[in-house]
Amino acid sequence: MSGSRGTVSRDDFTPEADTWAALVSGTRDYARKCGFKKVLLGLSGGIDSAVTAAIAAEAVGPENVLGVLMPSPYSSEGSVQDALHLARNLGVKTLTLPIERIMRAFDETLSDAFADYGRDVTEENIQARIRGNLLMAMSNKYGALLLTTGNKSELAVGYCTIYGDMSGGLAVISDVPKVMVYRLANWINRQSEIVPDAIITKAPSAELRPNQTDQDSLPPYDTLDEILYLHVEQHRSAEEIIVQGFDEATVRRVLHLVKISEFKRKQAAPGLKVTDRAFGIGWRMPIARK
Amino acid sequence: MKIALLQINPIVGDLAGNAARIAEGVRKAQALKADLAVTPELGLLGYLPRDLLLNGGFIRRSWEVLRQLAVDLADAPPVLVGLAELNEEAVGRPLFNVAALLRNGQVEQRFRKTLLPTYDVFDEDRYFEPASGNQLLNLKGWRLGICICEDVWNDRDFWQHRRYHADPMEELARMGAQAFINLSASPFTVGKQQVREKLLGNLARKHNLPLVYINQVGG
Repeated sequence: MSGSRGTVSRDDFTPEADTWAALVSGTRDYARKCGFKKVLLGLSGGIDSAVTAAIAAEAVGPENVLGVLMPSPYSSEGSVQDALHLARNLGVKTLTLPIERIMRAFDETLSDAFADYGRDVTEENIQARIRGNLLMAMSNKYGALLLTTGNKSELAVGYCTIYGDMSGGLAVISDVPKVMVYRLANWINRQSEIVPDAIITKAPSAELRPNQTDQDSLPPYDTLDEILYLHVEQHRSAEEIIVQGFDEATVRRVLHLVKISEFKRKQAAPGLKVTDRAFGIGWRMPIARK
Repeated sequence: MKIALLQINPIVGDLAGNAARIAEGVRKAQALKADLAVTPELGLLGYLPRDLLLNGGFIRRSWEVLRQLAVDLADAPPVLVGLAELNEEAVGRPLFNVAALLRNGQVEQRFRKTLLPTYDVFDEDRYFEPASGNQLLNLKGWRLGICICEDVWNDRDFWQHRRYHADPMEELARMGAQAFINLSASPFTVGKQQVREKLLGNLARKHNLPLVYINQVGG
């Protein structure tokens, strides 16, 4: 990757290059202006944390980035290997903290309270919160800025855990739609493979239960991102979007998810704006509404 | 005429630090024999100061820093510095968004922003009163039309739908401006640079005047 700190870097004038430069500059300046030299982030072996890690390494230098792996029984072996491979490519240090024992401790402590209830998304969220909690502890102890790795698409539909993976000081790619995250990864790799190919080609997954993929709950990302662009950036209603040729049930479901997840965005970490409408101070929706 | 664009990366609220950054830029401009130096919009305060602007002490201190900067740069070329100025009238929002001219050790003319964006991330109506008319800067025999950021974004021939009634650029041209200088703090979005270039190119062609534009840099 180019060492563009403090110099005018060569621009290939693509949206990817433009977005990359903005995210690197934003991350570098936010960390510096808030008094942080070091940053850390969770490395899941997924593409969001991979791209965030690459931005972080370029922004503050790989020696100032810590990648934390927190595998659970539901993490694939491939994910751990992919995360370590990425870290090696970036020159970033890693720490591995398996979370199974903590998950069991939560289960034991809650077992009486939940005796009459089945296992559901609660247990998935607990894993995300365990990870968020560990990361915040490290942020406190090391005095490092915690970067969250959520993208705009998942933040839009609430496919993220409040106080879990949303925990952090700066949400680096929270204004980058999922499809653009992929384009960034491929752009980063344009001269050599930095983001391992396995990370780019695997099906997106939160790995919070066995055999989970994002597309169990969400439409394909290219469709989702188009609907979200029309709704979030252009403020189009369901009818206006459907008339452009999208499946009605999908559109209504997506817009419903956007509506009911507003409470999560209200408590999201500040992020870097790269589109015409980000979910920060430029998006002001009520929470209690019908 | 030689104009130095001081594309600084300010820290919001860091009056001393931003003043030092501006001074460093002016000294470089001086060495290059510039006739005028220009900072980005609100360059002394950093953009977006948000509710720091409601703090009277912060505004007072910014003017103390500005006056000292003028004294320190008395022997340097004149510089247009972006900051906020108190609205002394009994009516209107608390402040004006201004570009202040520092020349010969003094703070001279202030040029006020006319169009105040209050959409997306902008909240300028919350703090600023719009200018009620434009002024030209007379410098080295040139009549310069000074404007700030949003002032260039309302051309009737560029947009199908315009947000504002007034067009400060048309007014400055009518007043006899021979060139435009725009101080900006325009946020990044992907693809916006191409829009800026088209917009500014259209303005320059339409009024047949050179247009000088400086944006803040950094995150």
